[in-house]
Amino acid sequence: MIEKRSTKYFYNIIVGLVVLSVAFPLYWMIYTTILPKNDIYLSPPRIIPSSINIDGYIKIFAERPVVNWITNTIIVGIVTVMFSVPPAVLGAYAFYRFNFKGKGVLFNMLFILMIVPSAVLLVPFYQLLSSMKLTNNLLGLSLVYTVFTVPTNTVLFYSFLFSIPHAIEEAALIDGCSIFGSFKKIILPLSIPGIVAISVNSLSLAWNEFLFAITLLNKPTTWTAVCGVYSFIGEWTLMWDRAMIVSVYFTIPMIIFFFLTQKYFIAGLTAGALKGV
Amino acid sequence: MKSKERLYPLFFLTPLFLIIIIFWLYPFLYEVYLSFLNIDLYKPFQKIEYVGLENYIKIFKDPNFGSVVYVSIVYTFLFTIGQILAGIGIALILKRLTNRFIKSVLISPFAISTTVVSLLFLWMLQPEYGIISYFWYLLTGSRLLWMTNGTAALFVTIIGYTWKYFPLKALIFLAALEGVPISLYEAAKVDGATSIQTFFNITLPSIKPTFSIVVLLSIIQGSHCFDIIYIMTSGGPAMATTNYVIYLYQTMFQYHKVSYASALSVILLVVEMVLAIFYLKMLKVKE
Repeated sequence: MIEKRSTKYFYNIIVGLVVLSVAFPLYWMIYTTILPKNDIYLSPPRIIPSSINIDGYIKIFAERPVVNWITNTIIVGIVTVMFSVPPAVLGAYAFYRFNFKGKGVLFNMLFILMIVPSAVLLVPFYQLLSSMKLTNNLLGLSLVYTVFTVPTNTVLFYSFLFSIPHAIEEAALIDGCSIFGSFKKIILPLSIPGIVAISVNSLSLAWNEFLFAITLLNKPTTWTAVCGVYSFIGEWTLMWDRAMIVSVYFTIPMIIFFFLTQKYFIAGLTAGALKGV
Repeated sequence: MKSKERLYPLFFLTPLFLIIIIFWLYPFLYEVYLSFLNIDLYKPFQKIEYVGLENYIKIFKDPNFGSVVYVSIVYTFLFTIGQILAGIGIALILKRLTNRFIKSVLISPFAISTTVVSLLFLWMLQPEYGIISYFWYLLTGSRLLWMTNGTAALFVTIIGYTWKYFPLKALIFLAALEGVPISLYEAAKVDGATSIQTFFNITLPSIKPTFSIVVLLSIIQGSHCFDIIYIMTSGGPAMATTNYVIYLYQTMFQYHKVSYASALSVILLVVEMVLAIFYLKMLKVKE
């Protein structure tokens, strides 16, 4: 590509500014956590720290029930995965493998449920779960998350199934394998990456969802990590360094998950999901 | 054999639809039912009875409703514009970048939960010690008191939300950009087109279907924003950032008007479903 040198410089400056503005909040989050106490509340803020202090990363465990928050989040995540992954896998396979009456309509319905936000069912869920004594209960929250991830998981897994060569299953069926046999012995082993992807989808909802977590969990012992992070807001003196440390702890697993499964996220949200229906 | 084959789909679909019916359809019907009653926990001695469409009529007489819808529309509109501009801009950058680390940095905000994003922006915008407030002070010489200024508060929440969600849009645009045939660009170069001409005459028309999909996806996301607004401003100052979902939440959990909140939810559900159907139609057109 032949370009004028000035255009190239201009382009590089723009890219630099964009990268800076995207990366700066992340940098500032981590930066706040390594500052010594006296450097945090300075006006003007100090751009280069006078020294580095990472004691907070250890101390926070004594100050806040961080372990408890993370454990609760993991419990909710695992229960949500257990409830939402098997029905999605089975259902997606039905849409992929069979032709039946109303298939198109049902799939479109699932797709619409995937798009409609969970906030529309906040009121009845709160009413029903409190009448069943399932507020302040991790199982209650997991049920809510299950219903809001099942449509997405089905659509995601459905699009994943198309990456498995059809011929393998055909061969098994010709050799006299039953539908259940081929599902168990061929489809399931080959779709482990897809199962991982939809499990991560459920886990990330359990990890990030805010509205239902703060309305259904009022007792501090049942708080998930989101509630824990949010709890810093209500305090008299907001300890920003501590809030940022919890945020960092809370973000690391998400970053790892995200980069492992990026391509499935995007496949599910865009056209790839609608092949063949 | 034939009849057995017909039962296969039923077997595979039953668990999925049991969940949808018990945990989606049933709460939805219950919500519609609640919206026809007059449950208001601030009036404990009121007899609970069927009131027909009264709650729905009340919505349109609600003095706050105009402001709530206005805030929602402005919020959604600005958010959508932000998503489009940032999405296309960063997709163009991502397409030419070769450094994988910088690429990862550019899409990393998506992996950070909105709760953390909200807290982080609150910290950076903290009036006395926040770094953005400081830069603002250096640039304008005045303090950035966004917490008491409705317009500023709205902008601040939009910026945080934009920062969190543009990577998704950038990746969708990137996939579309990579689908544009290289021959088109080569032909344009032979004809001596400038890069701006190429962008408007080749790139934009080629990604038009994706463009409408991203617009609709952003409208859907923007229209039901809750967490960042709730954490950063709680709908204030003076309802300047109270959008539909915040209002719904307040009606339910601060004023405990259960039936009225149900009616609000049903209306939101209808609007979101219409948007979702449009979205689905657009994806099918693109196919």
